[in-house]
Amino acid sequence: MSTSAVGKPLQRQPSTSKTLGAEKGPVALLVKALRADAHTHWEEEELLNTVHWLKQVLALVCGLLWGVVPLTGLAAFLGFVALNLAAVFCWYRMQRLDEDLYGGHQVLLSEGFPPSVAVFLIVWIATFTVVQH
Amino acid sequence: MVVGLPDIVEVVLFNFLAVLLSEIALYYAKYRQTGFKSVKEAVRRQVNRDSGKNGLGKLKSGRERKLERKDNNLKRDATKEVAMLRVYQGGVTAVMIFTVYRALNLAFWAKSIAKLPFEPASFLRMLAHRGLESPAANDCSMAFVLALCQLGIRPNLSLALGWGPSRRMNAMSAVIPNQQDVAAR
Repeated sequence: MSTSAVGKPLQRQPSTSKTLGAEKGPVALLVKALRADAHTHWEEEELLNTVHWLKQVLALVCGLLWGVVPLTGLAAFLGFVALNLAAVFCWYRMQRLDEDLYGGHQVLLSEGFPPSVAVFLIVWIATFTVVQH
Repeated sequence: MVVGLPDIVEVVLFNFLAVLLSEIALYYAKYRQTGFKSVKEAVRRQVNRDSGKNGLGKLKSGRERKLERKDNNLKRDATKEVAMLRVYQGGVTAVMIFTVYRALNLAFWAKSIAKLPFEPASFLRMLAHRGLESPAANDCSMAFVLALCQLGIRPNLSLALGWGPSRRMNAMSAVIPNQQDVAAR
């Protein structure tokens, strides 16, 4: 056991809830996601929240792009769906994460997916309406 | 409503404010209650404890049995808190949606507020063209945008504010005890 300068054993502080990442806001999680590499440690809730916010940001960006270009029709919508799933899949594969520890591919890919589709549709429709009409 | 903003932007902003107000109402009604906060904190401590565990062995020591009893009590408390929360959430959400729909109806009934960049499928057409007289294929009614806002804004705002139950708390409240847990009791 490590000791202080006066020879008394140092008290190890117990992990607090802050280490779980559940308290981190979306900006902090997104910054961590962008800086993460194969050695970054992820708690379960922290990772799921990060995946959620990554999808929302992607939905926002795609909605703006699709509306400005514009990309229309079912093909454009399916293109977003494919891009959304593929981008998150590639991101967590790059982290060399064992997805079984976090619920498997299904949990990671489905986390935040319905809200991201709704956000994409809102932004796409709004941008298309404002820019094109 | 507000001069200068496109109709769809007004509807989205109005929905955002309504969802924010409903979350604040839930915070004062439920999230800041001592019972809810203590269960939420206990679940967080359990997650912290479990993350260092390698799993229970086949032979359970007295301490492990005690912890298991504590976990079962926590599951019961979490289930109770989340069930009560669902009642509050249902009530607040219903009142909010009803109010927002009535308010937006007054301003945007029979008016296309946006142009859709796609032709809605048959099962969406009724919602996308709700209240519109002789709509074009890609006309969009207020009701469709309202539905999308509820699906998109609410979960994101809840997660960003972080006031509600954690994922673990929701998962615990939905756990059905398996045969091992029942036999251990």
